[in-house]
Amino acid sequence: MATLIELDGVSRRYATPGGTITAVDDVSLALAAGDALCIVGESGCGKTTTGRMLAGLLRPTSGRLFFEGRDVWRTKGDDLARFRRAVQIVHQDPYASLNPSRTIAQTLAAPLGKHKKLHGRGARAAMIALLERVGLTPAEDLLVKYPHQLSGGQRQRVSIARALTVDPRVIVADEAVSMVDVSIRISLLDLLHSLSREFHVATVLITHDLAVARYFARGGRIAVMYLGRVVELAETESLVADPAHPYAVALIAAIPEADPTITRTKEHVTLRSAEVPSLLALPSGCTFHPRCPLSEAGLCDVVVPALEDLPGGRSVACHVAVRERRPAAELLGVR
Amino acid sequence: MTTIAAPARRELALPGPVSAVIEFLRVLSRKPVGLAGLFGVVFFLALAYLAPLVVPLQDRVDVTAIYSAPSFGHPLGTDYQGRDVLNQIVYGGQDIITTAILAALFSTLIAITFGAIAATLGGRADVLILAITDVALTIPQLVLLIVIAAIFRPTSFISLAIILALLQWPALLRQIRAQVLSLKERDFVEAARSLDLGLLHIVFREMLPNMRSYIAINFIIAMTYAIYAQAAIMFLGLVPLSGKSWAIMLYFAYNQGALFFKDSFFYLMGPIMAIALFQLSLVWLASGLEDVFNPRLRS
Repeated sequence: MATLIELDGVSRRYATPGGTITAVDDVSLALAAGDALCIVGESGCGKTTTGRMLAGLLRPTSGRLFFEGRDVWRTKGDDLARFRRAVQIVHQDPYASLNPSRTIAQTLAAPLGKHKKLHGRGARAAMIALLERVGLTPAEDLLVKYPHQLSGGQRQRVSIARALTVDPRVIVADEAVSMVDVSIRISLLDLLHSLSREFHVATVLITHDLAVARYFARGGRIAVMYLGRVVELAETESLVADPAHPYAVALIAAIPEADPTITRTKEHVTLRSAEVPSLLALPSGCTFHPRCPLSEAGLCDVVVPALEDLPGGRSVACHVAVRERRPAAELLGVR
Repeated sequence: MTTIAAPARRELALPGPVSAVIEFLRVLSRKPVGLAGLFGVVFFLALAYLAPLVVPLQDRVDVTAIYSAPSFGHPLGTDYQGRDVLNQIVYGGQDIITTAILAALFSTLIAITFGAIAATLGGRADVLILAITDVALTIPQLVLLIVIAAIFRPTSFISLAIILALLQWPALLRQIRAQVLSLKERDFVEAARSLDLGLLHIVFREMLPNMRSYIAINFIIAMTYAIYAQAAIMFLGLVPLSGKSWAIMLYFAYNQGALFFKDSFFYLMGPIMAIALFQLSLVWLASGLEDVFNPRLRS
């Protein structure tokens, strides 16, 4: 499949009074139309920054963003505007992502009027169709409402409908379900999933919750980030069954199981430290080595591991797993 | 996607002016102070702009009735030339209020325009605008006003309003800039950028509506400032004293010795009370307006 959008070795650094923070360090990701990708990691790992750079909302300090083969930050005028519309973001906080002083109809009408020249009755029909597509019924009643009159889940659906007004090719959903009731999450994930199927939209879901990632990215890929780097990128099923990076192993092991017997008998990974290092003072070599049970002195704390391919279409940034040509899950004896 | 027929057609709710007024009153009535302020402001506006249409002007000098006590013919007594005080109160509101409205309008426009430009453009434009603002903020305003008024001798209320506006914008500009800076980072503004809705849409449709209460309240506060400033410079006799105004009444009442006559109490207190009560109404209305612009309180 042809690559639709691609981050090529992007980094994002911030100068702070305490020193330079590297929020994202040399990340490369590529998506084709209709792809589903989940970026997973703990808070501060740079997943949101990566998403914002992918959406073109944040300029990388170094590295490039390609859309349909063009370097986005070198395009201007119409091409840039086309890219802007092609990539839409659905924000984390449903209470901040809609303008509180505009009704749902006003929110949806602006992009429809500007980009599709739909006004009056045509715009109204389009708005109703969009709201019904994202599962908001009766759509008629919703149009005249203000955001504060809707629930969090409804607002997220309106945000998705708003993104769909411009026929996007890529949707970046930044923690789009984490502030929504658990009961609503699955249906929102299903909605995003079905959109990627129906409209051939590449969807990127950013989440800290591996259970959400596993559900959303079934048939797609998961990228695990740790302290600004992608440490593992693999197909969802193989990553969940057989994580190759020790950090991914620890994450997977931490997913609670519905069956208490499994939870009790499940092998847990004991990390050497529970502390996440500060972004201001990143560990040398592999940033995970102070916590990693597989860490080897003289190697892991010296050399930065590159993302390398393992058999089974997975990439991993771990000296030990790559050398052994086996996923860390086996090395740790977890599976 | 656009072919789905809409069942049970109902028009988009576009409230007419009447329902808008009802809605305005309904929300305002949640705060009795705001409602009282509204009534006060409406009363004084009617007094200033409508009453002169029905009450005949009485400015004939009557030397037989100088400083006469309140009576049926002169409810608030007469002035140093035997003219009716109540009649002057009725005719004295128009100029001072019009000047205040114009001054508030000009200063708000300056503040919004340059505050929004500074916050959106950032960089050098921001630094330059802020530097000018800070310099303007540090100058003692009343002293500067007195100097400007003495030099330019504004004769029309428009020129006076412009002078007042030129002194008032800095504080509001800083506040508008701060508001725009914070709104700029909000998710819905980012979404609008992502949807490529254009800078004008973002400023006027996404940001300004969220600053409405802010701007309205500041507009009213700017009016009160303009009224005080007018009262001050007119009482000091720094502008040519033509026309009728509560502030000019004060000047004459004080300088023609109304202070020393028991019967001319209302000649002094009349314009003072008119100014004070109008100001109080404005401040009360401003405190009630916060709710009116809050979309959460709309039905």
